[in-house]
Amino acid sequence: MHIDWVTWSIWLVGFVILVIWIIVPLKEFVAIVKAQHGEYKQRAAGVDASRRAAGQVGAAGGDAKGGRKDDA
Amino acid sequence: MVAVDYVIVAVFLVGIFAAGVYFYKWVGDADDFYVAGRKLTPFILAATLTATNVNLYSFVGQAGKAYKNGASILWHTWTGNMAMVIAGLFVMPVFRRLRIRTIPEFMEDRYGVSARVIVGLLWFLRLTFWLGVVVYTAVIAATTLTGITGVGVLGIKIGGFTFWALVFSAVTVAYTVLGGMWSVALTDVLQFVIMMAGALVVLPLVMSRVGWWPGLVEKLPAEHMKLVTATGDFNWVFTLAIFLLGIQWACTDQGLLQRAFSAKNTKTVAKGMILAGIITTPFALLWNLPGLAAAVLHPGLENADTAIPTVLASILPAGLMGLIVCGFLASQMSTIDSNLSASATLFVNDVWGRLKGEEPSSAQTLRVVRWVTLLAGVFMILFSYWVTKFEGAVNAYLTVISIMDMPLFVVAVLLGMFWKRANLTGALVGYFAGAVAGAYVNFGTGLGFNVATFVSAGAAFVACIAASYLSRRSDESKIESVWKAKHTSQEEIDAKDVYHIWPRSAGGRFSMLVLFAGLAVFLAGTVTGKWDWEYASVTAVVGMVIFFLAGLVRLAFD
Repeated sequence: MHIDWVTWSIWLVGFVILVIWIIVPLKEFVAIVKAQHGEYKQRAAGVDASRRAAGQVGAAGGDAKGGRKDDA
Repeated sequence: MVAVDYVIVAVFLVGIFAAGVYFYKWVGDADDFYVAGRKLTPFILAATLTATNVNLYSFVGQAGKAYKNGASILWHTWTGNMAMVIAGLFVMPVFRRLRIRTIPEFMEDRYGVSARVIVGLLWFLRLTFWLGVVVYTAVIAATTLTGITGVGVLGIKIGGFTFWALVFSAVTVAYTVLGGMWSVALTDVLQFVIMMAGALVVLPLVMSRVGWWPGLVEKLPAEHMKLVTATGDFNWVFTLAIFLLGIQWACTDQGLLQRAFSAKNTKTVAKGMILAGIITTPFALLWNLPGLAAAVLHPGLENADTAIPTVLASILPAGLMGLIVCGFLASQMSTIDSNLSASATLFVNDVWGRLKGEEPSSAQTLRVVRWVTLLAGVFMILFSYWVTKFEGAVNAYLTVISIMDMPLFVVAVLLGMFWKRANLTGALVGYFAGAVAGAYVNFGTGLGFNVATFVSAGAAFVACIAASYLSRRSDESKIESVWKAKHTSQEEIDAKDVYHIWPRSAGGRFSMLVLFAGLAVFLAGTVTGKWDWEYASVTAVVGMVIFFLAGLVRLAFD
């Protein structure tokens, strides 16, 4: 059977890069999600505590940065 | 396409939209929107960089040129990669030390505020034009693959071009407006994987139809397979012109710079640029080989940009077609989102921010940057109609960069970094003289983008020097910061992570000499193409390989 080394060499390089690019960024993404989730919870808790201190518990309001409602 | 293909594409679009919108809650301030809070990791960064550079312009535009003009279009990507090595070694470290975020910001550091605002505004338009080219290629691919050339909505007939331009843009603009760089970078990773998987399916399928590599070489005219040719639009002059444009691109492109500046130190910038350039080189074959094969399978197509979609429509079974269309869409969306974000950053940072006077609040900046992203999306769609007036996507893009990018490279990098006497008047006169000369050659004489590239660069160079001599000198203290950035900074010494633009060690210097020798061999191979020398193509490729290897070795030294 004839094997086209030119085409399959190019294909193999692409395939190796694809596999690496699935595994490594996935690990990095999971780490980022964990870190962001922790940071978001911390931020939400901070906002909640400051509201409690100011006697605003239960009042609807935006977060300090973007003015959006807290959807944590 | 059949029903199952449409379902796959619909699921993909909804999935990407949902993934992009998920990151909305991560955007608390403008810094999150611009640079994802500067938290992106190396591989996610590399994937977003590659996904932005490889898109339908490559799979449809460049493959279309391979179909029509032959293998010499490969130099479009390869010289761009060589330029990344040059920029990584000599220019990016200086920019990184200056801690700028955009080229207009450098223009302010070097020349003054007005240079920053004018260049910022012009480059906002330039980036949205590039996005118009990307949308155009997507529309061409979709129209050819689906056969849908128009739809009726509420009794109003919408043409195929408008329909597809709106479909492709809506999802990308929406999630970029909401999630900023977080959405851009993380959907880019997903899109890169889908795009690569699609390309890997297509390559063997298409090559098997033409009898693999030996069949391709046998069935195509010898001239079509030559990398350096004496005649045609994509001849040896094109290779030299595109190399010059590549250097300009690697030194001034906002999409590229925005990512490079997020690197942790100067050495990482140089390493990242060199590695990205070398790794992307074999990629170019993934879309240009199918383009060449299309010339065997479907010769005589009126619009060369339809070559790859036509081949795919004829060989792919139902189901697989839907997946490949998703791959195409992914490549297009990753470019649109990154450049939308880059153009909005440029406008808000360099035009709105400077004209406003007082420092805007974070919430105010975030609101404006979202509106500007939306505005950039509208410009992108409008420009995509203009691209239809050019002879294909590649010609449209090369025409605009030969007019707008070359003069900026000359006044900002060439004279701005290496000639102290250049001043604000010289920079502005040089920029506009280069742009007008480039536009005249392109549209007034019909000589095309190859000649226009050299003319616009030459006009910018001469006009900037003349106007600088005829006006007052710049403030020496202002220039000093730029000149100081050419040398190792105290920050690098303190962090024990020193990078010398010209290495101190013998090994480093030797690798630089080999790098220049490789460059000389590449240029010799290209120029001898003028006389149709038998070994011109091989010589140019060998020179490129020596150049890359020496760049790689250089990384091991100081």
